[in-house]
Parts: sequence; structure tokens; C-alpha cells
Amino acid sequence: MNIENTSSQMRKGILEFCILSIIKQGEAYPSDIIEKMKAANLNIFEGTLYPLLTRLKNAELLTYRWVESNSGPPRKYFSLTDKGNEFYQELETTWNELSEAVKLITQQA
Amino acid sequence: MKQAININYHGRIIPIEVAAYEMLKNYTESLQLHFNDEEGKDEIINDIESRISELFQEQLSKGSTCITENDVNAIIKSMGKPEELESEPVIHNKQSENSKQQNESSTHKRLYRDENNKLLGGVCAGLANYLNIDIVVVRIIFIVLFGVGLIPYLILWIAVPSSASKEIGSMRKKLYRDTDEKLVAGVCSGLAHYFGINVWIPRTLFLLPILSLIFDWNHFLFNVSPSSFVIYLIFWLVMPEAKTTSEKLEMKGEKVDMNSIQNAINEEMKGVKERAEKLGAVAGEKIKDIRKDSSSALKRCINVIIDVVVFIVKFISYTTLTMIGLALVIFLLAITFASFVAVPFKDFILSGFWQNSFALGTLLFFIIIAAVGIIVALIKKIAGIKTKNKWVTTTFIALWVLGWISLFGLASTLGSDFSKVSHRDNNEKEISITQPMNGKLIVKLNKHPYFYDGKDNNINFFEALNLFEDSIFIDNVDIKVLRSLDDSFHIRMVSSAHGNTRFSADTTAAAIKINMVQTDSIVTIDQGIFITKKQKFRNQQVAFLISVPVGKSISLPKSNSVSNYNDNVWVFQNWYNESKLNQTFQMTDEGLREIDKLDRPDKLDDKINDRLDKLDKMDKLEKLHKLDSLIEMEKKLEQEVKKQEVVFHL
Repeated sequence: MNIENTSSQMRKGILEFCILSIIKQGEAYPSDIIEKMKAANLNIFEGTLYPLLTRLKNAELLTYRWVESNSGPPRKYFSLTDKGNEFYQELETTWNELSEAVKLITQQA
Repeated sequence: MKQAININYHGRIIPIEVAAYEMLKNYTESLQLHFNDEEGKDEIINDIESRISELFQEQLSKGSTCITENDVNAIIKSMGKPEELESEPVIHNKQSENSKQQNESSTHKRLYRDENNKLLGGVCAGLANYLNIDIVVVRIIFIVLFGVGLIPYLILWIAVPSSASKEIGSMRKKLYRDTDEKLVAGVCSGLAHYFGINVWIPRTLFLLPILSLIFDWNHFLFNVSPSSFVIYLIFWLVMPEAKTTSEKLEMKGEKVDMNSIQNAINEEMKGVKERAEKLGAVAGEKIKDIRKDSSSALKRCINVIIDVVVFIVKFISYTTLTMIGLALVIFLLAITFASFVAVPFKDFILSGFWQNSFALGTLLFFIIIAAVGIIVALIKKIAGIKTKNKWVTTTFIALWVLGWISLFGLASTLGSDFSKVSHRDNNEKEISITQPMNGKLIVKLNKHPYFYDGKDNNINFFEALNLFEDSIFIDNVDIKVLRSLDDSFHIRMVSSAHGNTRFSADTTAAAIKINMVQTDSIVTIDQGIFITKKQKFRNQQVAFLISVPVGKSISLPKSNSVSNYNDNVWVFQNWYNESKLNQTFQMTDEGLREIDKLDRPDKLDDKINDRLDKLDKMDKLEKLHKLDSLIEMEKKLEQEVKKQEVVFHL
């Protein structure tokens, strides 16, 4: 077993959940998302974020609108769709259950 | 100092260093490749590029004048290299990994081509591995069954997956034309990359049938000659050119990541430098430029036509060059062989240490070195080897210069040995003859036994060499007919030779040995001169000056060339070897006139002479017997003739 591999697998699993969570708090621009995740010590490559956003958008969980920026071309601002909201709720429940379970198990250990 | 350019990058004008731009371009290409199978690939790339452009803007607003390689590196670091990116959701990954494991556990052994121990395609190595036998055994079986074995080999090569495909993350190779290492269109080098073999293998396979067309080999594999040309054309049209770095990496089957791209770029930069040094490439580049600009179907058509024309021109010029090269090689080898054959004769021509060493130098360094050089160059060109060993080249050139020096040395020393001619006065002597009885002098040539007759000249070459061990025979005898000042025949013999001084030439001329024998009215002259090794060949010549009084005639062997100077001298040279005909001429006040065009063939003469000779040798008694029998025969003949006449009358 490779410790790095395992922990990266664990991180990746919660990536979608984290992104959806950040967007749920309010419309977000990709670099905002990166910043917020960095602030929470969750470092990911931007190159990983973009395909993930596109995939979520294609799954109709996300939508975006163009917002004019002061410097350069307009930016994409992402927000959750209704379907995305539902999806998030489900994920949240799963996550809470999981984290509770993990907490219980690890505390016992 | 670094070159910088301005680019319009997602709505922003960005000043960027050329190297940084190249890096950025390759990064984008590698991303494109990475997201190739992704739905919404263009959107992802667009988002990323847009973000990069924003980061550029940020950097510039901080006060940078230009985007540098470091900036691009930093951006790539934060965006992530393709191999660092996770393109598939984790859940899917886990599933596929599970299935992979299942697959691996269910199959114990699979037939793979062994890329590590391969000679050609790794088929034999893979089979040996699978069957647990020595690879040599499999190879021998395939070689023994070559021809029949070739077809299964090819099938297995194509059908059996390569062991390289087992490695996780390895790229699937794609078939591209490699225009960086092309001879014609890069088809062969592209194929070589695809199959991971040396480039000369496909080249030889393409060339062999074409060569066989030239040499007309009747081999079952090679009697498809023109089709290899057609196959090449088809490949050319079908295979795309590897233009971008990632395509080139795909062609070579390397994993596309930043390191390999960096390596590839460095290699390409080198290639560009080399190319720029080539003067001839300019025209090709222009065509390429035209090609780049074009996108419409019509232009593509035109490009194909241009390609075909370029190909044909190249093909013709390469074939011509190869032909010229081969011809040169054959010519030089022929000269080499001829010089070795001439070795027995060298003692008759070369004198002294310098001439001998110059001759050896010419042979070794001028002829052989050139032949070897051309052969090596041809092989290198065909095999696509571009290694240049400075020392070898220098040595080659130095030796060839030595060859040229030897050639000039030989030519000048030999030339000086032939520069002066002997004095005529010292080498002219009157040969006393008895005047012919009937006013007709018959001249005959005493031919060398081995050059006796053109038709019977089938002597063994080595026999001739033996003969020439200590002397050679040269055919340098002329007969000159003049008008006699009195009323009798005179013969004078003039010998001549060449040398570096007139006196040495005189000595050589004096040493000429030639015989003239008179029997009755027949004068027999040696046709050629024998020259010994000591004497050396210095263009020794002998002329017999025969003065014929007006009103008398002379019979001469039929000659190939008769020349007349001022109606005073008639020179006879180049005797017919194949015929023993004599021509009879009469000296008149107007000059020498041929009087008997239908001279009796000498062969008849010879037969009669032979018989007379034999008769001479017989005893008188025998002669009488013979005469009796002859008389009887005559009588019989007469009777027969009479009988026939009677029959005829009846």
C-alpha cells in the first residue's frame, strides 16, 4: 500500500463534494474556488478543477453565467442548479454519515 | 538576450519570450492530448487557456515587461502537468482497477511480443517466452522456414500485442510520417518508429524490389517490383505527417509529459539548426510554408500534387545519383581489377623506385580509396546513418590527396620518360637484299605464334601471362613504301623509341630485336617487337622503308590503314589478323597503284607450299609412287568425266 496514493484517493473522493459546497455558498469563479480550497489546506491543480467543473456542468448539476471583469474578457461564474442542490444534499447526508462512522471507528481505535 | 513576441491570447495582447511561447504551446498541446477522450474537451481547454491568460495579465500588471519561461513554468506548476491531472472521477477509476486486477488474476500467461529482446518485431522472443524454449531455437525455425515463415511472422507481429502495451501509462503508438528524418516523404522512418525497428529495415524492403527491377533478380519475394513504389505512394497519402510535438511523441510511442516534451523540443531545436544550415532546404521550406497556410480542399489537392511532383523529382534524382554512384563504384573496381591484372606488365613499363611507388600510391590511394569512399557513402545514405567521424573523414581526404600526388608523380615521371624521341640517323640501317627475279617483291609478316590468327586466338589468359614473364610483344611495326631512286629494291630499317633524353632513347631503340629473312623473292618480317623487362616499354617502333623502282611491283599483307604522304610515302599499318590476303601494288610514275585486287588467298598458297614441302621430304622412290598414283587418279577422273559426258549425251 502506498500512503500517498491512498491519501490522494481519499482527497479526490471528496473533491466534488467540496466544490459543490463552495459553489453552494454563492456564485463562484474557478480561481475563487481554488483560493478557498487552498485556504482550507486542500491543494489541487487548477488543471484538475476545470475538467471537473465541466463534467458537473454537463451532468446539469452546475450552471454558469458570464460576468464582465475589469481586466480582460468576461469570466465564468458557476452556481448550483436545482438538480445540483438535490445532489449536494444527498452527498452531504452521505458525508455526514460517513464522517460519523469514521469518527466512531477511529475513536474506538 | 532573448527574443520575444506579442501574442493575442484569449483577448489579451501578451508579450512573451519565444522559448516561453514554445513551452506554452506544447503544454496546451499536451493538455489537448490528455483530454482527448473527455467530453467537452474544447471547453476545458478554453477555460484553462483563459485562466492562463488571466495569470499572464496578473504577472504583467505586477510590472513584468514580458512573460518568461519561469512564469510559464510557475503557471504550469499551479495548473498541473498532464500526468498529474486526474481526468476520470475516482469512483470509475476504482472500478476499472478492480476489473483490471480480476483480468490479471484470471489469465496466467498471455502471448506478448517481447519488446525488450526483439530483433525485428519481438515475435520470436515472445513465442519463446510463451512456450518456455530458447529464443534461438524459435529464430532458427523461422529462418529455416523463411519465405513461408515470413507470413506467419508478419501476422503474429500485427496480431500479438506488444509487451510495451502492458506498462501502465504507456502511450499507444500512432502511425505518422516522420518528416524530420525523411529521405523521400518520411514513410519509412514513420514505419520504423511505429514498429520500433531500425529505419533501414523498411527502407531496404522498399528499395529491394526497385533494385531488383534494375538487376532483374528472379526471386519469389522480389517480383512485385513496381508495387513497392505504389505502396509507398499509398502510405504517403494515408499516413499523416507528425507536425506537432505531441504527434511526434505519439509517433515514437513516448509518454506525453513535460519532460519528454522538453526533450523533444530540444531535439527539434537542434534539428532546426541543422536544417537551417542546409542550403538546399530553402525551396522545401517554401513549399512547407505554402502548405501551412492552406486549408481548403483545393489547396490540399494542389499540395498532394506538389508532394507527388517533389517525390518524383526526388525519386528520379536519387535513383540517378545512386546509379551514377554505382557506376562509379563499378568503374573504379574495374580499374582496380585491371590494375591488379596489369601488375605482371608493370615491370615492362615502370622503371626505378619512384615510378613503382607512385604507381602503387595511385592504385591504393587514388582508386581504391575513392571506391571505398563512395561505397561507404552509399551505404550510409541508404542506411540513414548520419554519423560524421572527423578523423575518418580527414584520413580519407588526406589519403586521397596522397593518391592525387601519386597520380601526378606517376604521370609526370612516366611522361618525362616518353618526352624525348631517339635520333633517326643513329638508328637507320640498310638491309641488303637480293633483287627478286620477276620484278615482284613479296613481303610477308611473321606473326607471333600466340597472335597468329584472329580466329585461333583462343589462348588461355594465364598461359599468356606465363609467356610474358620476361618479355612482351608489341605490334609496332610499319611498312613504308617509297619510290626507288634507282632500278632496284632497297630495304632500310628505322627503329625508334622514347626516353627522358634523346641518347637514352637511342640506346633503347638500338636494343630492339627484330628479324627479317629473305628467301628468293619473299621477305618475311616480324610483325611485332619483343621487349624485355630490362628494356621497358618506351614506345619502341620499327619502320621498314621499302623502296620500289618504277615499273616493278610489291605484294604486301592486307593492311587496315594505308596512308599516303605527298604521293611519295605509303605507310601500311594495322595488319589484318584474320586474313592472310596479300595485296599487290605496282610503282608507277604517278605513285603506288593496286594492280591485283583479287589476289589469290594465301591459304591456297600455303596448302600448295605445304604439299611441296612434304614432297621435298619424301624419297625419290616415294615420289615416283606418288606420281604414279596421281597419274592413275587423273586417269580415273578423266574416265569418270567421259562417263558423265556419255550419260549427258544419252
